[in-house]
Amino acid sequence: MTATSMRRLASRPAWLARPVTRVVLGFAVLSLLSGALDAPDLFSRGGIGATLRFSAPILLAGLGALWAERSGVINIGLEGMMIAGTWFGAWAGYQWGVGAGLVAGITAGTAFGLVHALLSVTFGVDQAISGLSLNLLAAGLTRFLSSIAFVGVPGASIATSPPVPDFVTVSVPGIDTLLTPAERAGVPILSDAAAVILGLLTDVSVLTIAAIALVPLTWWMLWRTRLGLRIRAVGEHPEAADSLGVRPWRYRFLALGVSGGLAGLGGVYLVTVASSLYREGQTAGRGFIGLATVIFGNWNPWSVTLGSVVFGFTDALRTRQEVTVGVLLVGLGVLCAVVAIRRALGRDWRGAVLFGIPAGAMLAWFALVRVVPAELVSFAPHLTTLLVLAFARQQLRPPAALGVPFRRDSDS
Amino acid sequence: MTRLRGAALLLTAPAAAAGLAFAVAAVILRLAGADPIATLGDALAYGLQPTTLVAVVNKAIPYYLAGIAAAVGFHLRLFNIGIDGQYRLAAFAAAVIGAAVALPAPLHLALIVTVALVVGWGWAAIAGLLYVRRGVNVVISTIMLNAVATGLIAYLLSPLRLAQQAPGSNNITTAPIPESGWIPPIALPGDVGSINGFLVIAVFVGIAYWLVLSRTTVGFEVRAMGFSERAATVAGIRAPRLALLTMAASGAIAGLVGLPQLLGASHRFGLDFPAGLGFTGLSVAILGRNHPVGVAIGAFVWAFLERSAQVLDLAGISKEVVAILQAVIVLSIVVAYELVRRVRARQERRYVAQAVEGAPA
Amino acid sequence: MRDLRLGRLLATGAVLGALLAGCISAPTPSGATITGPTTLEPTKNAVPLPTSKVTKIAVAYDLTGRGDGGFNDLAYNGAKQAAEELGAEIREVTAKLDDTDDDRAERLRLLAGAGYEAIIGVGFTYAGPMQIVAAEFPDIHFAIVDDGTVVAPNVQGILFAEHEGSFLVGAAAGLQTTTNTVGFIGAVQIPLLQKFEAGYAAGVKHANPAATMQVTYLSQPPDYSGFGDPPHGREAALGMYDNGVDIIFAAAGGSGSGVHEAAAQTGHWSIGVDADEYLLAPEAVRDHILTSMLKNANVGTYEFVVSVAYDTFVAGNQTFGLANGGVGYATSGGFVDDIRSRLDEFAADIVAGRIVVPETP
Repeated sequence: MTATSMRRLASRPAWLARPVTRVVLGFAVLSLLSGALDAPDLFSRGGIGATLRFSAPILLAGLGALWAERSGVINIGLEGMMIAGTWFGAWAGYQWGVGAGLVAGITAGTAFGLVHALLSVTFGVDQAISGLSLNLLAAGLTRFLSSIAFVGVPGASIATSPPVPDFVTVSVPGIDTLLTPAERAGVPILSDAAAVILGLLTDVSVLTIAAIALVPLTWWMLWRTRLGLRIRAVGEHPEAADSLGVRPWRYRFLALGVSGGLAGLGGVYLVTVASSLYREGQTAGRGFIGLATVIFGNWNPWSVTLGSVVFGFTDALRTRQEVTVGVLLVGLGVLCAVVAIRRALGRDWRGAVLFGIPAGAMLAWFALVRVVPAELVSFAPHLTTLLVLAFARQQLRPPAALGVPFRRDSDS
Repeated sequence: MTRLRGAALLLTAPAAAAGLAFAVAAVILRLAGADPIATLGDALAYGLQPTTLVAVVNKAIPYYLAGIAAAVGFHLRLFNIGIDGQYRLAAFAAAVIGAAVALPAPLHLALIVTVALVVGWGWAAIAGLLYVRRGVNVVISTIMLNAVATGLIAYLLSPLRLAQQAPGSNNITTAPIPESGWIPPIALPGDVGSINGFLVIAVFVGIAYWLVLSRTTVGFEVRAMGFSERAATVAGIRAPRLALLTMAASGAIAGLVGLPQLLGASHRFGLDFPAGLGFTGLSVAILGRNHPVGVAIGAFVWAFLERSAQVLDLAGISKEVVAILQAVIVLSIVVAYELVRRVRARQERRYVAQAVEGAPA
Repeated sequence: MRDLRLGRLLATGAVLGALLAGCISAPTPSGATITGPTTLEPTKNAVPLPTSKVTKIAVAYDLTGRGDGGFNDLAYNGAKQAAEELGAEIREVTAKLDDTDDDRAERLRLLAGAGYEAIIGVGFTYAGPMQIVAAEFPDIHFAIVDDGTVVAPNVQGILFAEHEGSFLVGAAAGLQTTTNTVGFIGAVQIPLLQKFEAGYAAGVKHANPAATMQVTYLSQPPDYSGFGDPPHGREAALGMYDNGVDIIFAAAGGSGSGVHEAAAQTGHWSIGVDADEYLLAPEAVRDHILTSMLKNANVGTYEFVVSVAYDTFVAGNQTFGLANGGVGYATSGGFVDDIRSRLDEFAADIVAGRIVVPETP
């Protein structure tokens, strides 16, 4: 083989590089694998519905983190704001209906966000510290409030609220009858595609739709309005902004208020859509995962959505049918094998070995053992997120002034 | 400005913080329907009993180690949220290996501690490597790795693999570590109990931490990088190498957090091994402002609050009051320190301005 | 101290109360319908009672605490009923995730020291601590639920044959399934819940050899969030229902509500645990609850307190199984009426030893 022809083999055709093609290709491969390995739940209507329900709270937390970080403030207190949203959302929701719950939850989250702003912006406390303390505060406060408000109420206790009403779900009319035959047909790839579309368009909670709608709204507000420009300016170069009359503290307060409100909305989602009551500890770290999606998403809302979906999808998979995680593992093994082969063809032996070993290990494991132990499946979403982060070659571009408290020269 | 005034100012911060925290506590206790003075008095009386103080010291030892581990990372603004996973994995490995070998006492202990150090170091190094090589933020990677650690331990802590289940018990534990691997307790006069021998190692860790930071080149580099990354880089200090070193060191110390319990009390790792100490470490490091003595005080205060809370439970007051109290204390202290810092800065500016004005033209 | 004065007052009241107790009828524990081979109700005394020795009862919880509507609540209810009958005071105390054995021991010690004569530790994590504290307070009586390793003349182990009760509901599922696929959702993968799984699987197989079973646990230890995560419970159940399962046994504590919701949503069945969940669930959901595996924790705790009160305490392990009505299956809703005779046959077989139910999967 000549050097040129080898290079041609190893080089990537233009169309393969486009993200859309990659997604479609990945979908096709996984779909075929799921058929071959008898794991029909990988792409199913219920699975996609579950993915939406798992991703939405993380997405809301992620958007909350985005607003805060774009203004230059790290918001580790998202978990606490979400907890506040769950408690107040449930407390108001069970007494006065979903609407009241919504308002109460968002307000509680916003209040916590403003406290975070007060501490980190006005008092100049280290932002991570103020965030961590707010988490502590929220956890203790809600338990304390539960002991006052829920103990003695029928159907409730110190750790749970009474049942909270839910939001309505909607479906696109007609699509069910249209696509169900295709879904049931059992044709590889096409049936899965039909299932995915059905999952996205039927029985979706209005709150999920609202959460999704907040993504383009966030993008538009932060990148297409003057307000958004100022917020971002404050996050990149607060001194310059200040010299132009854009007071950093004002915009950081605003951004943190929005951030807390979004996290609170995520909490409301948990008590109304994802479950139907407040349960102590139900946020289970979702605030932190939301923060992770922002970093995963390179501080832009679309990638934040992608990150939330990656986590939500794997979480839904391993909760519904643990065997499906095995399919992901095989898919990953196949991907590594492909990369290893390409590296080998390009004479990059080190790269070939680097990808070949995990490929071989994963495929061998699955051939021999066939089932991933339940204990190891439990961290599938976390490991997936970590791997995607590690292997997605990207130049992370956080806002330049992120985490640095703004102090005017005259202050310090 | 006189040194006396400076010292007085430095003390007002924690005093003000404590005052604010107790005011908040009084309000909450009142809301809960209890008499604040009597309750706090009871808690204090209980807390100051010698037996309780001994227990508080024992409780504070792992908090201190976790605090130092967190503080190491804090210097470079690396938030090692993974202390939890690191210490549990390290304790598990140490328990398994410690039970599997039989060596004379000092060697056995040294082996167990080494295993814990290495495992903690390794697990944190994964996060450090991901940060340095692939730019993955430490906060995320450590959170994810915590989940992975939990799953790994759950998988291995099974009678089918590395653990055992006593008949009639619902607990799964590793095999017991033979006595040669135990840490001897420090006996105290009277009937007040004994202090966990790991205190000695904890003190040693604290001293080493202080020495490394203040007397070695590496420590200087870390502090320089913490002050100003740009200046440090210009001076030739390489950030990636330092970040990796710091994360690994933080993990190694984190690996020790579970050992007081493992070697001084339970001698095996089971389903009931204490969890969540990592987050306490973060809070304690904040309270102590990353200073070895400060962290010790913070750890003691935290342990004291938790222990005294037991009495609150008995009196029918929800323990959550203590949780809120802890959060408020952390917040008040940082706010207080910030305010004090501003006052001092303003005073210094005034002092300098006066000195300049007073200079002959 | 205040406590002592209060104690004396209560003691006087208790004597009077005990004399009156015989005239007041006791309600059935927690209102649950207890069915099985024998109906067990705490004995009502028609004759005047001797002086009760118990004036203060304490219940110390494990990590999950109260409020799950199930196991912990039942344990409390039994003790509470005894307290009401005896005119005694009852106190509950909770635990924290980062508790060490020392903390738990201190909790028990404080209770014993404050004069609580009957102290119940709910959960296996109290085993070691109770062994220590029971020796320190030989005049106080202790009980530990779900553990059989504590050996002391003043300690009783309250054990339940969960696997036997689970066998019965498994048989019910095996008989009622129309798809020959059933499911099991456990909260956390710990040996205690695996007993439920083992019994359930055996019951399904025995009643319907052609049926298959799908198993999932919501979380891994020490992550005990599976006990309180209805969203995950719901999604796990939906996943199973989507894959052909039509009856799911939810041994998932507080997450069970999610499973029942999913059953109602998809028009399938679920099985409750610990308490009769038909009585606790909201109307929309209850008609999909086939039956519940009753773990009459209230009976265990009630019997313990009463035995201490009237000096009939017996140390050692008390197992509450099918033979003495400690476990059973619920019939509320009438969904298992057509197979009751077969289920009762199986129960008799188990009691007679003709069927041996495994405790591990």
